[in-house]
Amino acid sequence: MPLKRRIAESRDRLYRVALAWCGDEMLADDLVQETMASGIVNRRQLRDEKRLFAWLYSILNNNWRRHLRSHKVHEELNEQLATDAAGPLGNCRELEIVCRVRQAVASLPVEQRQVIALVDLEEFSYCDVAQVLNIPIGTVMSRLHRARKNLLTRLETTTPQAAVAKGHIRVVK
Amino acid sequence: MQDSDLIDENTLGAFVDGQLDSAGCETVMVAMARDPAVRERVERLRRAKDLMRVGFASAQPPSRRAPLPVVPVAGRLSGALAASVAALALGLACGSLGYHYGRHLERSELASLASSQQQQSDRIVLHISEANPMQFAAALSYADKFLQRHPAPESRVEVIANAGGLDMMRIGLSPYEDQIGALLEAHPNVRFLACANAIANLRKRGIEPHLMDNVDTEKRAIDHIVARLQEGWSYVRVDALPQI
Repeated sequence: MPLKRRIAESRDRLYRVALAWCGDEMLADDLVQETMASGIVNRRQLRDEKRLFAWLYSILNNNWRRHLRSHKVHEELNEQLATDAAGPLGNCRELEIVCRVRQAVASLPVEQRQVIALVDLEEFSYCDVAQVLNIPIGTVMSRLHRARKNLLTRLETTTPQAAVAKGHIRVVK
Repeated sequence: MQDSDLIDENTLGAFVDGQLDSAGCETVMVAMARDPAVRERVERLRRAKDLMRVGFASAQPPSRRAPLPVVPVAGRLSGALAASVAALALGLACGSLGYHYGRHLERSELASLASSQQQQSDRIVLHISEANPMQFAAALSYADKFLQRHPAPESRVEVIANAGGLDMMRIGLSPYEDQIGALLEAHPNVRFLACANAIANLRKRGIEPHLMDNVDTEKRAIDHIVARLQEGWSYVRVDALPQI
């Protein structure tokens, strides 16, 4: 399949991670659109097509960081936990696990969100995540550990134990 | 000492993520068999991993009314125009992400693109994405000159704003309310449009945009511009106006 077509068909994958990173559907879509456009315009810079998604996520990361800088989201650029504000999904009426998970993820520090999304949604290796985000592998591991710990803590404190913490979860890929 | 005390969280996380070699996996599995506390820690990590997948497995990008501005369009259009659409998507995305979002395209590319298209069409869409009065003034002047040289009914001009450019069409913020009215009065073939997405973004932040009455709002800027390009219009960014 031509590279241009592969990039065009990457929208859904990129969107899931972008949504996990930014927690805003419209912004996620904009970030993905920009990433795809950059990918197509600059596709000849990709030396190894097997690394297409690592490359696209690097572009997405650059776009996302630029967006954060342009909006001066200083409180999210450190490792402090974000506030308990409900965020973009705060008005979700249905108390579904999906909504609660997305809300909990949105409340994580951005560095933790980025790592956990790439590892759990994209199943990237730690090495790939380190390259995409340009951080050491040890940092990937420590951020991932904190992300999972914080995610569970937030879900356990905002949802009935029986529903999430002790529940049976069916993963649908 | 319990096994649970000897194995750190990073190692257990690497086990859950399939990042350990066979020796590392064996060590963890032996510890799990011996120590319920290790099993419980591994289960918690797996639970977190499963929750992430559950939370985002169903996430789908919003549908777009116009075709995706990257490949489907590129597949139908000529090479030069297809490249311009990809560049356009990039420029629009820059605009839609914020008032001061960084640029990715060289001005010369845009100018060249606009210049080459200018010769092909007497229908142009002028795009402004920044709250820049100087740029907007230049755009109004350009539109006026263009319409004088390309009289109705064949020629048409649309000025479309998104992101910060929306301010130039907002009552109380734009210094050019009168000029817009005058241009509309002088030329029946000019329209002003505001991006529905930019309006929605403002409202999400609790800001009511209060657009001028003579500004239309139909759809997202990117959708509108792509549709115009497909109809044979030329695209001009106001920060790269060609000579007229």
